[in-house]
Amino acid sequence: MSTMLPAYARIFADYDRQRRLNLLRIITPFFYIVESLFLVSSFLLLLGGVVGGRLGSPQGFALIETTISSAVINVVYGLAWHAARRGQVGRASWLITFPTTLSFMISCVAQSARDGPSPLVLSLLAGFVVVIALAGALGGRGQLITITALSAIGAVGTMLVAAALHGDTLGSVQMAALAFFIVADLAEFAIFLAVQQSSRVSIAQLGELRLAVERAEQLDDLKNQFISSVNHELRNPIMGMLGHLDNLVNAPPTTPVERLRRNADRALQSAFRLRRLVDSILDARRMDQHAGEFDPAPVNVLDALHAAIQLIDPAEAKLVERDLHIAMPADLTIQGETIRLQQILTNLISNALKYSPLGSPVTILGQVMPEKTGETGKRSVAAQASARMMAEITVQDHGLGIPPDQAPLLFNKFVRLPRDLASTVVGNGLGLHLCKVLAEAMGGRIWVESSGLPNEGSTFHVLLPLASTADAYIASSPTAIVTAAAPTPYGVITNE
Amino acid sequence: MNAPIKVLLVDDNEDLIDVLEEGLTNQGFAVVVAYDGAAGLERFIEARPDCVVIDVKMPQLDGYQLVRALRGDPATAAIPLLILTALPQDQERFKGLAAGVDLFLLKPQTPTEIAAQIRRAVLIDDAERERRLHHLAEEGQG
Repeated sequence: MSTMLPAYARIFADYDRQRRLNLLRIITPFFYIVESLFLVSSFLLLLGGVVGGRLGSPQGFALIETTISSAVINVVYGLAWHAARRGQVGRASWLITFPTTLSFMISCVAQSARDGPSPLVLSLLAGFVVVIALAGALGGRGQLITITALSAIGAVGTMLVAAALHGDTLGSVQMAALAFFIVADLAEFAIFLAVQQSSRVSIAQLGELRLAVERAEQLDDLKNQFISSVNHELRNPIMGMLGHLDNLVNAPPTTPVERLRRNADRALQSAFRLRRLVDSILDARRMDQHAGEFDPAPVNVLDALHAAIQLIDPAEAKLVERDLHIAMPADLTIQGETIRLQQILTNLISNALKYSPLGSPVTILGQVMPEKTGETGKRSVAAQASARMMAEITVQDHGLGIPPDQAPLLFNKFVRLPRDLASTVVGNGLGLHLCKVLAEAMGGRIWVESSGLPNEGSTFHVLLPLASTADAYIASSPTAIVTAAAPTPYGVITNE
Repeated sequence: MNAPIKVLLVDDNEDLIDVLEEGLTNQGFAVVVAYDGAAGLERFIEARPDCVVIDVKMPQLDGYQLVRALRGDPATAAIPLLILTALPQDQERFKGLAAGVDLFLLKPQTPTEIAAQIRRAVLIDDAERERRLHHLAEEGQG
């Protein structure tokens, strides 16, 4: 059980709770009804005693005592039934086992105080066998141990009281009966403990199975999503390529050469698109394995940002004038690798453009901040410093936002939001996965913040380790402003 | 040959529209194009084509909605419709439509293949068109 994983423990707890609840829902009303019948009969006997004027006798006294305790137990069983109906497993099982045990203890001790270790008292001890079985079936391990201990104390106590009050040591028959009872008590305890333990083990195994099934189902979902997005992404460029080639082959004889050349050229472009797609899909696996293979060096973030903007595929991110607001300190420098940083930025900015309405701006900010401890990502490089200074780059759009429950999944391979799968926005579900792999390979991490409300958009954060030379920068903190040098397909690029 | 068959192409992918327009024109069709379902509906009313080739995934009015709009109007209910899709499972979505569509074409398709399918669809005999209009009229009553 110490090797039981938390997930299995949860599954075991759920299952065990349900099992106990099912039992309680049968046993509590049964106990309540039997106890009610007992109460009614002792009440009738008591009534008979009152009428016959025999209440003063010891029997009459015992009758009063029985009726009162029976009434108390009746109320307690009623409460147990009620608790079981409300699904309160712990309360219902304790309300059954503990008062039952207590009432047996009281009646055994009371009886032995009157009669001494009589055969009647010895036979009463058998009641403890029932309460241990009850605790074993309805309760947890703690309850089983408690009730077994109380039963043993009750049995021994009964005998000691009998012996003390009747000035007698226990005879060999009583001693044998007591010893036998204690052994039976312990044997029963051991059996129920074993049953509880073995069911725990088999539920843990079932739990393992269930987790495996859940994982497989999740993978299957991912696979279906992937197939449906790749279907679309593959069929279109193939159709373009086939179409241009078909037009080339079936062109009328009078078609000018330039026209034919254009067909061939566009077929080639479609083929290139197809190759890029195949590369990106097949490289995702390779990238996972090789992301960490680079020599860390200082990389200027603003330079990488400008290069990244040039790399955005205008066809993919829609060649429309879009405002990019950039506030990036000119000397913000990370310790990492240029191409990897560029890829992260290209993916994040192209996503921001793809998934936000035309005309809305995209804001890119850079700043230095200490890494918060506690929120840990994977760190493969420079994991030694606990509160090192990091460069934080954020890319903010004003799109539809991301539902919070779907946000963590986004960084998995081939995952796209259901909304995007249904839309015309193309994507293969690899971009953010790649960003995550690359950011972590450089000793950083990536996450997204979004309320999920439309128009509030999403903000992607990338945290990367600062280059060591940047320590000087933190001290002086210049706010140099650089304007975009190269013309881009996008509208205004401002560095505020 | 009589007047050329007039085809309306509706697809948001400009490259695919280009390639189909060129190929179908080369094969003697008169081609009209629209880049979205809503525009497709407008172009349809202006141009009165003999056949419509519709892409499923489009912004605003998608292929499914366009087919519903065209099939819901007696004036356009008998026009042959060809659906062009990248997802085989799209066919399921169209099953509920009353008059349905004439043909599902799974991308990729060459212009020559699509041309052959258009010719076949346009050549449905008049009896079939009558049946279709009748079916629609009955539905209107029910």
